[in-house]
Amino acid sequence: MSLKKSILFVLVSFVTVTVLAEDSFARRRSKTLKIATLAPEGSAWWQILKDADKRIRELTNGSVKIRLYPGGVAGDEPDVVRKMRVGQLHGGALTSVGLAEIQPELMVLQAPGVIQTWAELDAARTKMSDKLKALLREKGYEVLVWGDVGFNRLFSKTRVDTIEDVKKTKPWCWTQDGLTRQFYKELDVNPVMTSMPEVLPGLQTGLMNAYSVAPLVSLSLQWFTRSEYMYDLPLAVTIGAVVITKKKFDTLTDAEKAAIEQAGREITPKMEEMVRGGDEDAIAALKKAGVKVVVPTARQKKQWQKAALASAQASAGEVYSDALLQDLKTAVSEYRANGN
Amino acid sequence: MGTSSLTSPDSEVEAESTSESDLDAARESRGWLKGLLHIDGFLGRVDGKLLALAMICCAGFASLDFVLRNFGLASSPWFDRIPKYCTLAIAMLGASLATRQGNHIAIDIVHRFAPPKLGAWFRAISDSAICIICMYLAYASFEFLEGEFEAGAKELEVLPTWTIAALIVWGFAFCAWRFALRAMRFRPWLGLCFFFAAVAGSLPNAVDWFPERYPDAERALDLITPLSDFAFAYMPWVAGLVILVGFLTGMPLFGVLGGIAMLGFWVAESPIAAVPPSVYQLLDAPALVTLPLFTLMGAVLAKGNAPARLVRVARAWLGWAPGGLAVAAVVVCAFFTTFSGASGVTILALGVLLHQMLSEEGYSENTSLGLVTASGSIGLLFAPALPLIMYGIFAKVDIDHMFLAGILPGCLLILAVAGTGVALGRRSKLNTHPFEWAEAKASFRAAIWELLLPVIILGLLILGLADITEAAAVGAVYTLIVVGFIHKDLDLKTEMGEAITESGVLIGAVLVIVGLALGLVAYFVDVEIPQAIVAWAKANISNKIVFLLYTNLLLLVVGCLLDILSAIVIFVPLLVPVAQIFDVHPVHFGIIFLANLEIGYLTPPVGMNLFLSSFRFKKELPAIWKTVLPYLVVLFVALIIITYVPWLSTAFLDLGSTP
Repeated sequence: MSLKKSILFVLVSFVTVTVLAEDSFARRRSKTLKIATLAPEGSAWWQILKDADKRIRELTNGSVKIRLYPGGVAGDEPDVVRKMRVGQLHGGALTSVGLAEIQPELMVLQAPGVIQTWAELDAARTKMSDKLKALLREKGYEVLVWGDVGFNRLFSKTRVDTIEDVKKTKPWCWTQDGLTRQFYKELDVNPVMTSMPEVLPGLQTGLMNAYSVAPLVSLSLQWFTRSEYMYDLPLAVTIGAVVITKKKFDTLTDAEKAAIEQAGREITPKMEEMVRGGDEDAIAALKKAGVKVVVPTARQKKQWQKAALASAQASAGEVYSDALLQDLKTAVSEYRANGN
Repeated sequence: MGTSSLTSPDSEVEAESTSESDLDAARESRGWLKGLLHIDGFLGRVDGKLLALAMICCAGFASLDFVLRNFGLASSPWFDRIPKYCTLAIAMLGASLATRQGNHIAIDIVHRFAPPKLGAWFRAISDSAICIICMYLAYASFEFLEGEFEAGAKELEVLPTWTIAALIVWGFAFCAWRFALRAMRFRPWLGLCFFFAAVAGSLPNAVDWFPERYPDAERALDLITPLSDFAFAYMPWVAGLVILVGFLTGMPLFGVLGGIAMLGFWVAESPIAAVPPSVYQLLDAPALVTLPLFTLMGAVLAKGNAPARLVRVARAWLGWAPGGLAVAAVVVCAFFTTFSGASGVTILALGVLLHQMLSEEGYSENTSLGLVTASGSIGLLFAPALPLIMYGIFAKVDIDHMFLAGILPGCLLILAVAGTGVALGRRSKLNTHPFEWAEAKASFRAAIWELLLPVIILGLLILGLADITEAAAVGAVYTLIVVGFIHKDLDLKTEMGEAITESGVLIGAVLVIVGLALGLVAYFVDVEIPQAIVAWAKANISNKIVFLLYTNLLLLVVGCLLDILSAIVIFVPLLVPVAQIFDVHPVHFGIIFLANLEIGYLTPPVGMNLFLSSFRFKKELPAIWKTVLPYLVVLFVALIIITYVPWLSTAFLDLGSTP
């Protein structure tokens, strides 16, 4: 090819590609919401999302639908969040792991020792609802419904009653979980820091032998098979939510948005019932599988709470802002004082 | 298939073969191109140093984590994360250096069989195709980076994730640049094409922000809309053609995978930026960190005199028995493969030594070559070989179950190869020498440091003192100390650094394939292909036996074409759900899977071991095919036994599940 010809060739291909570049996606964008979750197909979580899909199709006459990627096929939660950022996925039923990747400030709800019952969580979250939603919106996400995982318990191979007992164990901490890291620092224990998939093999070889998660997590990830005891002191909750990217949400018409919000409201009670019951169900299943439940005495409880609150305070400014923590504390104490 | 840069001190084969593929060799080019090649030569040296640094940091920080924790000192979360950042850095640096040196893994059979002139054209075409794909990968990664930047996400509350994404952009951009140089070395005017293609590639972004900033220009866009609709309809065909032509002319595998993934997403109306997050996943898949570590170990051992010492031990302890040397050769190979993963190091490092030893003792040329070639990937089923770990992760099976499951089938394969070697050897007159206690002791003492390596790694794992990453890191540091300070096999200032860089290039080329294979899987998941396969299997496959038969056939082909790690990444998510409906135990399925791929490496015409062997022994491929045939027949029988006797794989599982 002569130089002239090749330049001509290049110019022609240049023009073609330029023209292609016109982003035709906007005009052809389908209204399928692609939503990923770690919950496996057939689980209660999955069923609720399926119901939401059905409801949304009904309400929008089929113009919007949900395509669900269950069982973590779309990756771990941080992967899912990254895929939402580039626009491949449009939403996720996330636990705190994914939510922290989106907006670390939300982790304030998990500050140890602050929220200890479902009622407190509900009251505080309702009171701070606008603020929390704004925090997510700031990052480009809409909350469809809050759906929590459960209250964390400490699981261990040897019996743990007091903080001193924890020092004799090798507790695990997810490397990216600043709150738990701070908590163990407060207890003056060196946790074993790894990623999630390394926990089960680690428990098998004895690399670690204690961990603190919601009972449902221990149950579904099979971690309980390597634990003898569960210390029944809920110090912190693992939150979760179904979120949708604003970028996708904004492509919908107002009627469609309203339909989705309505579906979200409709599944909320079902979701709450499942989550609240799920915690108890999981513990019952764990007991049946031979995990011994240790009930703390009032004195021990106090000791733990003190340490937990101290670590919650120490995390302020690191994970979440101090102002947010104080807001939360006020909301919880108001609830405790007058029951609303 | 793939070539590898791993050199032994004595080889001249290397110099010959790299001269046509290494960019350095083209310095005699004219004018401006010479200037560019000089610049890239400098950049290449910097990359090499950085790569070695990343390898050492990877091993160093993971070991540090282990040491601190076991001495009861507070460790930092960074020590867990830094080796993972290093893994991504190794992937990108290694890939761009592999581009420089022409060391990417590719199904480039056409390059080998075409006449030289045509072969050069094929190379230029495939380099051009992958250059364009790399540009799009870089562009997609940049979009990903932007997303991370806007989100303001941080690692451990400090390190912005966009800086990590920047590594990916940088890596693909460098690959594109170097593929462009390679093509331009052939015909300089290709450079002009690449320049314009780069400009065009950046335009989709420009068109996005252009109307935002200049709303008045909307009309100009309206004018070209009909044209763009037309182009939109044809674009997938053009892109598909580029990928197909590239594939046929022997483009590196990562380009094929990345190209298909991007094209797939584009057709499915998802952004192509959906691919780079999968490369980012190299960070989060935990056991992947062990890949560079084990490769480092294998490469440094191979470069030193460890192979000679190991062969001496095997000879002294097993050489007295009739056929004992064949067994010894297979065992040494298995040992080496177990520790060097699936990177093909074994044949390159041990091939010549073992071949010499066997020939001296009277084995015929064919028997010996066949034995060495067949042994090249034989250790893959023993702990802690990487394919076992990778399968465990991707199929969500306990890794220690995989370790236990591999023992008996692994032994069966060793027996099959060694037995065939012994049987064939009997035909020629073999020399045996009597067992000498003194030599046995001396050889053992000389190789004691190497022999301790598996003891250390498995010991740390079994005692629960370290996780697999830390054990591998400690093993790597130990190997560096043994080779560099105890035996002083390698000169610390020069040879050691080179060996480390070389291992980085070797594994970088593999990691980038794994990353883009993850991208392809993400596309499969996106369009729900696994479900479609399950539905198809339910409708068309009547029972377990037929399913296993299909699996065997499919995987043998896959084993020929892909390296084992990307085969795991791509096919495990597709096949494991199907295995479940036919009630195949996931651990057993894993062993079938790996045994198949292992044998696929040997299957003519294009199994990787055949190429490595033909390259190492300077033999024509058909000659090698002939030598492995008897081994292959026996291995097929072994494969059938492994497939249809699940007991072999599941016998020890109960041991593993008792807490």
